[in-house]
Amino acid sequence: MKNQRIPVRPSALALVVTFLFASFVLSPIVAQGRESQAAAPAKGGKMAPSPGLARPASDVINYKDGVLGPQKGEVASEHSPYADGACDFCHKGDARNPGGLLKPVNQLCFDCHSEFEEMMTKRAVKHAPALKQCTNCHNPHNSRNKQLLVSDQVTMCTSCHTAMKTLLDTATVKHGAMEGAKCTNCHNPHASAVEKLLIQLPFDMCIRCHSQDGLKDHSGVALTNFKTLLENNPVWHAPVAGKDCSACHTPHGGRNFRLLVEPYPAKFYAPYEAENYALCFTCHSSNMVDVPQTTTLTGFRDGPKNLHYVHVNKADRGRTCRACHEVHASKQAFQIRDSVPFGDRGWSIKLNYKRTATGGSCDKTCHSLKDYDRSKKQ
Amino acid sequence: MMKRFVLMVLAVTGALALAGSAGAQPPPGTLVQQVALSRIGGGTGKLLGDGTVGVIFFFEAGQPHSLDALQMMHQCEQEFAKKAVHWTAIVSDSASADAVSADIKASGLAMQVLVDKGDQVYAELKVILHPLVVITDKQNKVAAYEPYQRINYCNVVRAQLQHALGELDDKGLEAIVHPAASTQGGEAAVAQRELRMGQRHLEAKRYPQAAAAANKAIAADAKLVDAYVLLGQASAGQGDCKAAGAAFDKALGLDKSNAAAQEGRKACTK
Repeated sequence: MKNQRIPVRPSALALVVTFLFASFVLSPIVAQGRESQAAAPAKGGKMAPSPGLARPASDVINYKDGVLGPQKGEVASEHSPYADGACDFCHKGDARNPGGLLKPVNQLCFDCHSEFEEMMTKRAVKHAPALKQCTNCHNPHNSRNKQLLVSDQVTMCTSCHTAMKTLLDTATVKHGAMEGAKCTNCHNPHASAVEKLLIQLPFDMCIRCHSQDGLKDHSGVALTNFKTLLENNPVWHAPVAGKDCSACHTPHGGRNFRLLVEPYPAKFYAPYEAENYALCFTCHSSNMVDVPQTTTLTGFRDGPKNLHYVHVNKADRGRTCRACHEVHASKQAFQIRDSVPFGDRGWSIKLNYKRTATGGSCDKTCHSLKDYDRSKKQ
Repeated sequence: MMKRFVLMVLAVTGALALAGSAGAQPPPGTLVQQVALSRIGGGTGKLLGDGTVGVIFFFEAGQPHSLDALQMMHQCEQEFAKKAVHWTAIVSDSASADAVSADIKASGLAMQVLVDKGDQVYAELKVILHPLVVITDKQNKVAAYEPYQRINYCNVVRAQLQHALGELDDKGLEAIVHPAASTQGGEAAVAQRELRMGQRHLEAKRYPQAAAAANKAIAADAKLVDAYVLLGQASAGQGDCKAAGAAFDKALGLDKSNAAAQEGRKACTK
């Protein structure tokens, strides 16, 4: 039941946890920082105004009524009725001199491909070009591409999804899944129950690859095995519990390290500037770090003294969220780490966090024993 | 390979369930306190309805996800306009009233927007994420929390609301919250497609093509009775009564009452 997911929402101290949704990697704190501003993630599925699809000029033979005719030369796929000479499946007249179509294109297709009619009727999210005319993407006779596509898949999709083409061309941080891959690895080009025509919810898609050891990003950094991580760490960040990796990561490529949708500090220390934490503030309120005194904004306070402010809001060496919180999942409440990553050589310092009914403490870590108590009066 | 993948998915699903016990937000079933708060634009408004399902929508002005959710919530409130639902948007009293008003205006949101003085409602429900939708039942108890999701958020909020209203059962809710993979149809669909095409070849007396399609259908689904019937009819059409008889026998082996197979078998033995 959906409702059972609820208690995983971070609370109190976990106000800062979103700050940490910054890495697919458990290991080293990578000093990549903000990268170039060349590419912006595509938002809202912006498409070219023209419905025109990429069709190589050489392919346009006998182009009638928006339907491509048979291609000459070597082909990669052939429609069975065409191969069988069964022109009467679709055309008036005989095979030697096929005339006009017997019915509108999609009705003809659905005579045999009825599963597509069913999915495009029943599923909530439909691809407009498919709904309008199957031949927007498929040649009903033969093709130099697989599955009778009028051009190679990525070229065809990006001929309408131009913002995506720009993103793919200019992204400074690449997603390995996009290299040599096809759009249909993740999207159903006809219809889906999930928005963006995704085959499954983002998490279910992502974990198909991110559940193995040895996976590396495009720059060679080892990536987390999420199967292992999530099995061993029961406290999950809300977007993870909500199966929404795309809340923080852009899957097609982007400009921020770890394919983050917005900037987030990559190192242990960083001067506090709200714009550096744009990722976190897409869900969390910046008040949590901006306000020195509060009795409501966070549970990480000593009386009204806001300890998130104390740790993070410094002009020079503010501790970033990753100092104390795990990004995706942890063993302790509020996604608090067992140990603090320090330096660039993989060192870690135990946090020795203990939780109490009204506060908690950390000991023998960056500092000696310090405790806090929310119920304390100033 | 497939087995390993299924096991992995089950393990992760199990971990998802485990994860549900780890947080500190008041669990579903918790009674939400009724309060009257100042309304943006003047006057006061009640946080909850009287004996109605409620929606409490927490958002922050200017925040990207909140702006996205504002549009969705406006769509939702319109869809449920004729239903007994008490709609409330709520903002922290630290928010700029002008910024909140501008976002409301831009989204077209019609529901009341209350200002949470001293962030007391935020504290009661331990709200630390924006946007967040809390659905309450007719007894003003928490029915569900829905923090923002970039994908399918509107569908999920709508489904939770329908569930709270009794218009959607648990199974229906689950199908929307955790939708099954939207695949292209698989082997069963391929078998049906080949069958239909073969039947059309048969009608046009293209028997070899009909037989070929029948064999493809059988290859995709070896238990598809109609494909064996088609193969029998196509073989009979080509005068191959032996092959036809074998195909009809297979069809009858799967469904002894199949009339077309019985008829074809009879015709072949004459």
